[in-house]
Amino acid sequence: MPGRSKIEFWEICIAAVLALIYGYSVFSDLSIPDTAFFVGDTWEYQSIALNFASGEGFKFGGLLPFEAYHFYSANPEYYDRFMDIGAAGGEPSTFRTPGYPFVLATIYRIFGVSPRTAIRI
Amino acid sequence: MVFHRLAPNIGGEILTEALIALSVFLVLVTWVIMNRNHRTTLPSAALFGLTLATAVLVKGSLSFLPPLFVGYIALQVLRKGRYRLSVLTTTLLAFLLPVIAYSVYATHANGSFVLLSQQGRSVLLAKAIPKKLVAMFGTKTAVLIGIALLFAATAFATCLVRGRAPRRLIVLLSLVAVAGLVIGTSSPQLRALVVVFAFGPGLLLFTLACLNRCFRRRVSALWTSPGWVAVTFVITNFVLVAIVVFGDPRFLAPARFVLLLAASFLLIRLAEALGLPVGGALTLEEDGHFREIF
Repeated sequence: MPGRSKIEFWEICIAAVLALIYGYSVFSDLSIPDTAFFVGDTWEYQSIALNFASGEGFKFGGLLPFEAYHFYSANPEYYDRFMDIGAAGGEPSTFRTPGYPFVLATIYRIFGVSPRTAIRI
Repeated sequence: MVFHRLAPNIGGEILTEALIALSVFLVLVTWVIMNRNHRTTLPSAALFGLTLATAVLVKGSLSFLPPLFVGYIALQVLRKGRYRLSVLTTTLLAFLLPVIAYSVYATHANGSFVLLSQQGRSVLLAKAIPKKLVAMFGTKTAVLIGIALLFAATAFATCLVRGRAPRRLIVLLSLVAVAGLVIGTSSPQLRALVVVFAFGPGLLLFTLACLNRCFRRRVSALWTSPGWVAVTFVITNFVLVAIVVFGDPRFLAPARFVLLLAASFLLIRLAEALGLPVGGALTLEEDGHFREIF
């Protein structure tokens, strides 16, 4: 029915506007650092995404200069291991599912390397 | 939105939870699209299957969604319900093709067989509730106990849902549960059993069954209406994840907005049971129509 379609279209429009207003209200007042943690899950996602976006393959490890990864700090405990893995050509990432690194890599390819932008998106 | 409001710290980091919440949302949306008309179209079935594949490629913790949804569709096909065999086949193919394609690549890259990822092997039972049970009884006994508990809970819940359980049985089982909790505080083994049962599928089934009885079978839409089945399946997925992999609140955060939907449903049913007027966008139908849900 034409009337019904029109109502649904406006429902979607209203929902989209509300979502934008909400998103702006949430993220405009959050001070998100433009860095990623160099531990836990984050260093894997960040390095795999950047390596993939840079054409180095879907691999974990420091294949690029360390600064390129925008990590929060270079924890000595992890730094050597991370860069050693990179020097050996990186580890093919089959430990984790590929969805999140792939989305991150796409964002970095389009908007440049910025964890803050990725989080906001 | 609910996820970001309730878990701003998780949403503010490079972590998968935000994408998991989005994946769950997309699964629900494509399920709604698929069931919007009485006759399900094959493109909408393909879109849903593809969304399921995307969800499991985002995070393995969503791996219970495909078997639950595909199982439901298969059941409807067997019962000659709302889905045709072609819908089941299309959904299954759209789901399996990307998953198989990536698994082949991962197997080739890794040099040994990989289905989606290797993380599942390392985290299986790592932080899950039954780990304590395994430590106490040994793996085989723990698995047998788990299966027996699940079977008992399913049988009990089925009995309640169909309204055949006598009240005496409910009172007796409730007393046993309370006794178990009391005794469990003094015995580590019993405590582990009670914990597994309380946080396991048994709790979900028991809750659904009790709600159905309390609301005089007005909440049966949670497992009979295709719309609410989706909500139930998402909650079930996260309950199962808590059982076999992680029970940490962080991993359950992406499902909070779905809990809100379920809570809204129960509130409406409660209002109806109390004779209060309920209307507006959240008025629900039990005949499979969806647009009222959201």
